[in-house]
Amino acid sequence: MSIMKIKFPIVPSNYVFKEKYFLKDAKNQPILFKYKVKLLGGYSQNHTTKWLEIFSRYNGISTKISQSEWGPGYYFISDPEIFNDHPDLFVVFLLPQDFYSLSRTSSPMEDISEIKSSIYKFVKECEKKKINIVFSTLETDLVGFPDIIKNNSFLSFSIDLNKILNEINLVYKNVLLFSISNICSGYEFENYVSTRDWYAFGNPFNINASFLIGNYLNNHIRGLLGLSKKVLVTDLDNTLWGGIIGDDGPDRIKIGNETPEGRIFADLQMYIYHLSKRGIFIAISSKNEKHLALKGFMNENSILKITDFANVQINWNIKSESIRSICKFLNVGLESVFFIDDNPVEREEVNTSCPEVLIPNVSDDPYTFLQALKFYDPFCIGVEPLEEDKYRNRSIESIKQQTDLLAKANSYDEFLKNLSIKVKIQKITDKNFDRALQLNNKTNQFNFTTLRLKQDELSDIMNDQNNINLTYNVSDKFTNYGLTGIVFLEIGNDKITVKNWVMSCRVFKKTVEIAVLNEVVKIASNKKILKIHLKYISTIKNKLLLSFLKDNGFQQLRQDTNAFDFQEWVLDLSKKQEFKHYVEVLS
Amino acid sequence: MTKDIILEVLTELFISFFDEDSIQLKIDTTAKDIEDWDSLAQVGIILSIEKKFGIKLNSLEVGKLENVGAMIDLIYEKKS
Repeated sequence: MSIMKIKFPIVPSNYVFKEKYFLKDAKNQPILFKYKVKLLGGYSQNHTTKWLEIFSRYNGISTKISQSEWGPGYYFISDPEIFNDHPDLFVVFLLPQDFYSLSRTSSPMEDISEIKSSIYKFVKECEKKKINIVFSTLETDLVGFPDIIKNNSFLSFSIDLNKILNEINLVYKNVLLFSISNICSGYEFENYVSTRDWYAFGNPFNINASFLIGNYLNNHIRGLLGLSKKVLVTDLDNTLWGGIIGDDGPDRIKIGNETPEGRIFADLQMYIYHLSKRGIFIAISSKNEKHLALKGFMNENSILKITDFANVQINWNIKSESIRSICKFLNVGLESVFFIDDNPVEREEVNTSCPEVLIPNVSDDPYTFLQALKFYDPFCIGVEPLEEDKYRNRSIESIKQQTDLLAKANSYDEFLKNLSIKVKIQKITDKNFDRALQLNNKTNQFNFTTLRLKQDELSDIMNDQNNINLTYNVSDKFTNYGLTGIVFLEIGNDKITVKNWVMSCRVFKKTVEIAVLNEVVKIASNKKILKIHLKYISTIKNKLLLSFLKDNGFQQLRQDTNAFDFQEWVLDLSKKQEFKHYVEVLS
Repeated sequence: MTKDIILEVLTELFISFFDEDSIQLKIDTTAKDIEDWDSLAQVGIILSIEKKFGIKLNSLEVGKLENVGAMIDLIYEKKS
């Protein structure tokens, strides 16, 4: 689905005089939905109508829009005939000029109690008929009509009316309020109301505002039709923070109050954080060294934490591939993705390969990311998410639950105890062969030798009857991590040798490795073997294993001069050794 | 800016606004001569003129623009 080409920052006047061109262009899109909208009040709303038609056609929605006659919105809500053409949505304009009384009464403003009761009656009728409504809230009178009486001013009237609208908004699910001034804020144009446009054309707001309101209404309709995006994929450098994490380091990237850039990125991160709270998947696609890039989230001003993300693709793959991986992991289609990246080359690459992805054409001003989120409203903020949507984000949730559990626990041991970690030990079989191979060949950190295996080599190991080769699956009360460890054992007469041992970093710090070591010790004890040898090739990435060995009583057999040679470590089982862990082992 | 140049610029503006290459404006061209020139289009044309020529018209002035000639005269007057 192609979409209207918009360049950020948006200059509405670049578009507003090309209604005819854009309408023709939009009509090239196939129609997927039909929708009926009725505008009530708002005087001349021809431009709003046109832009709503254009934006919805670009989204595959053929919107039939009708307008009430010239006049104030609250007149028409009491007219039973408005229901005749069975609209799906009413848009009710409540404008300052509606409420100045035009008859010779003592009060310059209309009677609010009457207006209140007709609004309630209208809303209840729509609820019964399953029709959605959007009301504009009452804004400052920008036409500039002078106040007549202080204690019956427009200001006090508008506060009272907005209070009534807010009550309705909180009670009725079919109601949404919108603020015209808010829709028009954050764009580069002067005023959205012109006295001349009102008196000369009957336009209560100008053509730029009509463009933005048409867009806003289309976004709401998309939400009501369930056409909201599901995933926000974001780049990191100069997209979530200012600067390059690999060059600047976590303390010098720009995020937070100290710099203008940093303030914008903080606002952007806050917006994204709230999206994730809403059940929107947030994911990263960044070309970076992962261990360096993740440090960006350790900046003290970073609002987002790495655990907020449902999927993280930090690698040197092309971005369209990363986005496909994210979609596969989250089980969503490319058309559900909104992608932000400061680099036009990356955007173009994704756009060419995945035209279904919505990618805003932002500038180097990071504010344009926020503007694009506001303008496209890809996640349809006006429509309350369903319960199912909120639960969708299970992978984020399970990590978050763990964090919460850890925060509540008095000690890390207590946290682990409460986590109900289970390890299920199995042999390598045809069923888990592929995963075992992948784990062995991809894991760098908890990998004693980092020796990669070819398919036939692993196959030989699997079929070797003299030795014992184990895989293990790990789960806890929140998540099943699947197959996350392999141990290759060589059984000798007086020793068992651990030829290699690999474990996924996803299950670190859960005492899983200690439980597995304990299982190896049990195997040895059953065979009355008193020595466990272990091969270790030290690399830059697997240094953490050294402390594992020392902590668990291994002694290095001989000191090799060459760092990349095999080291041989030995655990003497004749000395009593306790292996403390919080894992239930199933076999 | 001469009236001839104004007519030329105005023609370009109409072509872009109506997305219609065949438009040729004359002094006496009115809304009747161009199919899509209705009251809605009139508002858009006036706003485009303001943007293009960098002028601002008040409520009374916009009511007088019945044909292209009147538009040219008013733009000429405002620009000089």
